[in-house]
Amino acid sequence: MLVLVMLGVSIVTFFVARVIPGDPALLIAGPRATPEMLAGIRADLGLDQPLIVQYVGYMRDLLQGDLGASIMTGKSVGPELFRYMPATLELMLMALFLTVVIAVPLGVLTALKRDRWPDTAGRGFAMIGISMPTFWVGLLLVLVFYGWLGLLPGSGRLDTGLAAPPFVTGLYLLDGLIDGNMLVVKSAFNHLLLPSAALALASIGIVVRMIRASMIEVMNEDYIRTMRAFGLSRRTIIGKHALPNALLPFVTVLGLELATLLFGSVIVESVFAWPGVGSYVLSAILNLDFPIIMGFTILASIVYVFANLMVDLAYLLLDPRMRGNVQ
Amino acid sequence: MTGSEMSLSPWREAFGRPLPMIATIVLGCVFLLALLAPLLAPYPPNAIDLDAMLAPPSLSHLAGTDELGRDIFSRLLWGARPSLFAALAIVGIGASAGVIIGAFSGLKAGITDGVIMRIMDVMLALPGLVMALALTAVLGPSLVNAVIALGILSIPAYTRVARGAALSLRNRDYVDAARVLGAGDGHILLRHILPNVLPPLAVFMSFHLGGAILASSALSFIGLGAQPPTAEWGAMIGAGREFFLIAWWYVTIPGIAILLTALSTNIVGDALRDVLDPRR
Repeated sequence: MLVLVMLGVSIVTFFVARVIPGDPALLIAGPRATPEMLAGIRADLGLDQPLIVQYVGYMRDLLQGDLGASIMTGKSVGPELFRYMPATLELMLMALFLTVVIAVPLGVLTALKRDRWPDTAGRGFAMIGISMPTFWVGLLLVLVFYGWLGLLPGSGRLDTGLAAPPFVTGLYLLDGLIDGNMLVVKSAFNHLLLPSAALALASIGIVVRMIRASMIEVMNEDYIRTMRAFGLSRRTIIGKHALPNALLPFVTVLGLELATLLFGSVIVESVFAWPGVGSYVLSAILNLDFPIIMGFTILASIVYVFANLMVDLAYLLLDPRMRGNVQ
Repeated sequence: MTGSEMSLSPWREAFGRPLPMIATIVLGCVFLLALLAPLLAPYPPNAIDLDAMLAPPSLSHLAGTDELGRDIFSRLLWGARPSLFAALAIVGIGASAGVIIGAFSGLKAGITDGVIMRIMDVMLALPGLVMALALTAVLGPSLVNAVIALGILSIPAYTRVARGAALSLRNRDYVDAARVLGAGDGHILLRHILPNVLPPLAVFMSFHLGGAILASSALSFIGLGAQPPTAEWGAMIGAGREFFLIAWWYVTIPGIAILLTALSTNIVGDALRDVLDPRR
């Protein structure tokens, strides 16, 4: 199935990059290309060849990790994407962390206090979360916490004047900890808070709603009622039996939410001048630097497909019933 | 109790609660304001007034002005048109194409169904919004192209909804009876499958509408959707980001418009689901 999906991904991106545009060479060379450059690119891509031959060439480049070169800078897109990757990864991991620590307890709380005020408040919060445009949330957070209150920084990854910690993972928070430089850790954490909160809000809304629904379902199961009848404490029933079962679908949703986070990172990074893949892609969009946009799309697709494969595998580990199905 | 009263009561119960009722009214007002924008807007949407640049909200400019002195309230009213049009068109493209493909696939079953559904699986395995971004960039930045991209990428989800219904109905006696009487695929699709797909479809469409407003305004915000000087909510916020620290109203007010519209469609969606899909 994975091979099939990856093949499908390559065909779809091939179509978007090479077939839908009338003359891909025009896109790849950019607006200031000379006729000679265009002819060179056409020959290079083999645009006079049949589509299937073009596709084979496209796949060969992809498998060699060759995503083409930027129109504006001439730099190879693949290495550039990887250079910006750690900043985006740090942002997405923090958003994921916020989603888990906020949405899971809130989802459980709304389910256990069903139809009482914590439920109403939690559901309202979730509903507003999924209805807010991410870019607007980001701007509002900057306006309030940076512009009006002056509590948190509004852009960048570190305070000006602070040097980036020695490169280990590329995640400043982690590298700062490894380096033992608490000044960097504190600054990196402060800079992470607003953008990751903006990125996480929509996911939090979705996860709260999902956990509430699955928790209510689980609490109505016969085995929970049996445990109650046997006099097990509420704490044991919820913590040991209901919650682990209610969390199962959460794993799937996390995999799917990655798509929201990947797109959201482009938006949020542009709002917070966060020097990651998203900002790199956004500047490419403004300059119509096509190879970068396609490179990002391919990378995001690969990450997304693999993440969801991991989710499926995690399901096998977590849910014994699934193992039965596979055998 | 008469039959019509009985069928009306779940609707009354779902939409009689205050929140869904308010949401429905808000949505109605947004559509009405969009429709009546030329009559209601106090200024033309692109009228520049260099004497009133970045003026805060006041009686003469209810929502303040932007960096060119354009009246934000007027632009908000006019901006409702492309914003709503985009969302409706995205849902329209996804729903019509998805339902036809899905119902056809489910009706045919066999190899046709297998091939179509594998293609849809691949499309669903891709990060949709990122693909929409790439597709819009390829087609050229404009609201119409953003709508086309987002519409196409929403097809697979609709296909699944419609296929499920078609598969479960294709062997029902009344469908067989229609076939025996000589009804073609088109007739069966339109008369027998579609009415049964409608309830789950309506629920899905109302949630999709909220998502479509957010997605199309996000593409406009990053410059891939509506182009200046068009008044569109996402594009207005995109233009305002350079000034929002000195002019809070510039990005805050269009954002509230997007939030209220998306929130209302989601609340209506929840209520619709309570009525039409009571299992959940």
